[in-house]
Amino acid sequence: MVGDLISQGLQLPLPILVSLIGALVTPFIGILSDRIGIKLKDAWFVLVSAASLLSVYQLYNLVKATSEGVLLLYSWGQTPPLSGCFEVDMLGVYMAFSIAFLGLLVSIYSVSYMSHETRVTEFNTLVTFMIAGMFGIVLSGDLFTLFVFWELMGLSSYVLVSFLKQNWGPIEAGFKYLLMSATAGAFLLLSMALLYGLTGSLNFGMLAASLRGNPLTPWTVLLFSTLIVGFGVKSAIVPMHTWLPDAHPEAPSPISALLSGVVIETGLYGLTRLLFVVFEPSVFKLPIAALAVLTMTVGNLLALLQGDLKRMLAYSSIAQIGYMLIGLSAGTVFGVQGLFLHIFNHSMMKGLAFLSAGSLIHVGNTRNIDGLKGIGHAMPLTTAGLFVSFMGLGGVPTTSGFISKFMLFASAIEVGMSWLTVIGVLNSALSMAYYLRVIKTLISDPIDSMKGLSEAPILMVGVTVVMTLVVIVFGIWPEPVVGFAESAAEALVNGFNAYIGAVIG
Amino acid sequence: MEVILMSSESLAIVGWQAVIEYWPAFMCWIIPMLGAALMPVFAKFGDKFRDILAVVFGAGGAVSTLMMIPWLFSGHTPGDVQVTDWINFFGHPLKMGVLVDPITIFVVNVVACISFLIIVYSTSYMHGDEHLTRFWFFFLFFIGSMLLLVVSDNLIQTMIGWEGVGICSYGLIGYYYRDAKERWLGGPEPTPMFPPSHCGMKAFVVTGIGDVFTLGAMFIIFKFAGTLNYIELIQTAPEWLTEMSHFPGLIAITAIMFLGGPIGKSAQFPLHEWLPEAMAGPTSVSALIHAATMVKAGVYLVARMSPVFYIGTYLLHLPEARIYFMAIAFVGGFTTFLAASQAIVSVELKKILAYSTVSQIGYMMLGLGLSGLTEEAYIAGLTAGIFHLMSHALFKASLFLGAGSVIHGIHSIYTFDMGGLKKHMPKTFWLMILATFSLAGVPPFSGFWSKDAVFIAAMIAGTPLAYTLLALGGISAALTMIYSIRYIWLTFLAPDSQYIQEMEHHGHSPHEAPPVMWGPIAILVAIMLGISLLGLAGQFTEGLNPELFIEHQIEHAIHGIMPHEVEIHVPHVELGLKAQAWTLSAFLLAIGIYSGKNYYWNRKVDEWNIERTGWRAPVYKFLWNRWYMNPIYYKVFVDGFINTGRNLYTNLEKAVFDKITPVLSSFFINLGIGLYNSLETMVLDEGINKGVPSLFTSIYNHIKKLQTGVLSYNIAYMTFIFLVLIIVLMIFGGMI
Repeated sequence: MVGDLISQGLQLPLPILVSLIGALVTPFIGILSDRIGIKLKDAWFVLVSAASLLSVYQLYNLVKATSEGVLLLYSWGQTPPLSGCFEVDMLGVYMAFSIAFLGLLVSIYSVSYMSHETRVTEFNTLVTFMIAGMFGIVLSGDLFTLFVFWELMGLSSYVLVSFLKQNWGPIEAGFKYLLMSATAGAFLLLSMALLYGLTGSLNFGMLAASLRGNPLTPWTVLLFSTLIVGFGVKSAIVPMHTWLPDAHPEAPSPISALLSGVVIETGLYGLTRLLFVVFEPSVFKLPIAALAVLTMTVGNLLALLQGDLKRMLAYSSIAQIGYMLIGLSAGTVFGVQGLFLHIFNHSMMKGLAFLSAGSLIHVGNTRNIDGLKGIGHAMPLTTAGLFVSFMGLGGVPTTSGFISKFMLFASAIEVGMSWLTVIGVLNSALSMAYYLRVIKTLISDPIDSMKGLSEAPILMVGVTVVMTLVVIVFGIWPEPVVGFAESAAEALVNGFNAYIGAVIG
Repeated sequence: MEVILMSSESLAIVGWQAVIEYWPAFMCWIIPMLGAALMPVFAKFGDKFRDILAVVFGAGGAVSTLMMIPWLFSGHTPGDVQVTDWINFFGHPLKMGVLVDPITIFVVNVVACISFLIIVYSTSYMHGDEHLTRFWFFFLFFIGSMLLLVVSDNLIQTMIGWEGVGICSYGLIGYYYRDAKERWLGGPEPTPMFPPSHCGMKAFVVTGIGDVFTLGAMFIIFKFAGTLNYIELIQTAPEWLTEMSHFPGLIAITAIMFLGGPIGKSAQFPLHEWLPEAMAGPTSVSALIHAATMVKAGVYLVARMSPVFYIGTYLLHLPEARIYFMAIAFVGGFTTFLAASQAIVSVELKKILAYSTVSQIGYMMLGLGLSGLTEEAYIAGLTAGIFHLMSHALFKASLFLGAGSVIHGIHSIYTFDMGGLKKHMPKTFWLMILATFSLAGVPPFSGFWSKDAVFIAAMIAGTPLAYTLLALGGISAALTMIYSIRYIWLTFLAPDSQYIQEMEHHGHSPHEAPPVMWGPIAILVAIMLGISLLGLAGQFTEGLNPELFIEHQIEHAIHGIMPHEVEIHVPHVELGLKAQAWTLSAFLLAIGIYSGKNYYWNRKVDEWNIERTGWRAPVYKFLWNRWYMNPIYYKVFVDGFINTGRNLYTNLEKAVFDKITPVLSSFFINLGIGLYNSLETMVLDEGINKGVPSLFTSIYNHIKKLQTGVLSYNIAYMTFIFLVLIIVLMIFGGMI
């Protein structure tokens, strides 16, 4: 079988190949590392993440070199429409870049954060598998391949949520996550069956060629609903979000950062890709707008009075997904650009929020906001990072969050949905209430248990400082990442002919 | 990026994408304004946090403007970025937007970078003041408004920023609004003293008079042009000016009215009387608002609108349009002399600098006015105005900050309380000396090059008016040298005053300012020296000449925005002309140094009496009373209005209204009580103040129940939304 693969030209996109091999080798490195007593496994973990990021860059150059902007890889067995394949366009590269970038930062952070845990090798393996799964999702060219990697990402993340298995909370949260995702998986399979029944293919290009632009039928309505539920659970769209506020806080902080920063956005990517493949934007405009309003409002309201710092951040992630849905609902290049720009910016901001919150919890040893009162005096750098990330999440100018939020809100005005913008702005204002409350508590006079502490280890602080700078620099000089997001949005909204053409020829 | 061509060469760039591309042009004013709005919030987190955040937001503005500098070289300019329809004005949509061209970029960088340094200085100068939140609010809001004024692409937006800086100036001049006696300005007895709140009011009212005229002119222009966008005004000027010329005298009236606002804001004759009193504010405010930035707004606006009148004069050959340039040239030239003469007798250190500022802005206005006297002088005049604006901002801000350090050190504003401070404050002394060289126009300091540019522009223009004004400006240059020597002598070199001796006697000898204060001054002086050296090098290597650089950029800007048919002349300044200007400068400097040195330096007698004896007494009295302009203004306007009011009060109020009032007032009082009981207590207090927070809390408590731990409910939600979606879509799709 391997011979077949090689004779037909094994064409796995390099990021997937690197992280899959990296994950498979990790256990052996772990054993070796334990034997000889050098921190080899940490080095390997960071090395694999860095290599993934580099390979994404190589992929970027490959896609840029093609005339159409689409790269078709790995046609195995049949001709493309029937086989599994990878179809890489700028959007895929953009998402892979967001994932790999946060992945690298998180891996450096967790080297220090997990240093006192006993099962570091397992942890590293699972994280690398999860990242490989996400690469697969964003690069795949058909729904079957996507589903395989979807489950790879899912399975590793269930285990990672329950990683601290000595407590009951993580077990319960992981189980809930597993069951709800499995139900969603059933819906997704149903949608696959429907799509296959309607067109005889699962390839995105084939689907788009035969389904896009047709009027709605009961079958496509059913399809739409299954897609929303199937992807909606992973991306935490209200009312399918209920697993998230349990799972994200209970996971170790680096995992929370990855889950909130890229995993739920990968779900959103799947939804966006499929909706654009099957429907015209005019079809899904209003339902998505309604879900956007519901998601951001519920997210913000529930975050308002949370006493648990990480749980508050988890609700804030739900609200941010709501903002992103505004761009999807607008459906224009500008709106989708805002959506993907916000995905990257949010991965940095929420990643930063969870990592700096993780440092605070690591040192302060409690997740309760009031219990951390005054810790800012002992940990100024980390608290400053948390402050900047909150400013970004609240959409304050000079942070990157403002730019993308501005684009999202402007895109709604552009397509004549000013009411959506108004609700979004009101929500933003409301969200500042809980962000500022946390900061105020952290920097007021310290309570007794918060005295005599010191700043987190150098690696953890270093990562948060870097991310803080990223948030500010892209807030003041957004052009590079805005341009990248624009080419990604162009590829999705206007690049259909190239995308279809790459498959059908 | 979407480019819509409105006419053959429109520069408008529209759409949200363009906003992202020209991001810094928006950020530069949004950041400080946002900082201002958040100041009360930051203040809750502690004073130190608030002060740091003020510096950070100031830095944000400065970084944004620095990011605009590469655009000078990258073909981004000129660009008019229009965001969206903003106001619909009698059927003419007005777009909100920013105009990015070299003039804008020069001015915003001067404003934002100097502001940032002054903020740093203020953290130490204002340290310990209990109302700093208010200070930072006005300070940051001022910076934001000033930058908005400069980057905006239409007159309405400019006016919003314009009034914004006016209000902040009012708030900052009257910062010590409790009018504690030691904050009063004026004197010494018998000259009247004024409290800071009065001074703030005076500034606001006097500049407001000018603004009303400008607004009137704007409406006239809008009536004919149908737009207030600068680019559109300039591009369509041939049409609407022709139409306007059918009404004889209208263009001349409009031009003069339009100049009202700039004359008031830049403190030019006859609306210059507010600036000396504006020194009642904290010194860092004087440095920022009344030396480096706000007073330059008028210069900027005159330059910004000059293409319109240039087209009128030289393309349409309308003699009335030339009035714009003649008026501002005359005002500038006369003010230069007027203010310089008053600076010679003033006894407050800051007031000397204030008069000096008025005088120097006169040079800028003179340069801009000369630009339209002949076709050849246009670029040269604009360049002179803008170049002098930049170099003046640098040295005058340094001088004010230095004066602030002195005042901070000895707690007195009067020069007769100073003397001999060189030994106590050497750093401040040397920095101020360098800045003073620049002010007095000593070669090769930057002030020399920029003042020289004005002289050369006058020689290029070459009309009788130009030569008359050149003579006036020349005399003022000598006066500048005299008063420079005077204040440096009185402050740093004269024998210790009685006040200083008493201070030392009590063991409080004057102290040098801390590094946070002299550091920003040193940076400003260093930049000034850099420009000076470039100016010197530029005489040998043309590529380094800052003046030529500004000239090329301005020529590029003017070419970009003018209609095609207008010809622009770039003067070639010959060495002979330069030599003439240099000789003139050297001659005037020599006179200034000779008389200044003889009069102040060499006389070791009591400074305060020599000026008041013999033939000098009437001159002194005339100058001390500010050419009697200030007293007359007070007599006519302030007292006049008060008297009219008093008469009205006795005749109308007492006689008529007081009869009616009791009836009406009791009715309204009862109504008020009734409303208070029903509306205020029931609706506002119970409803809004308590209701809104508890509303969110109760919503939270209700929604919280959705977040149950029971898994089957969670999966039921999924199924629920699935069914809802199907039904809703079916209904909308017309299937059921």
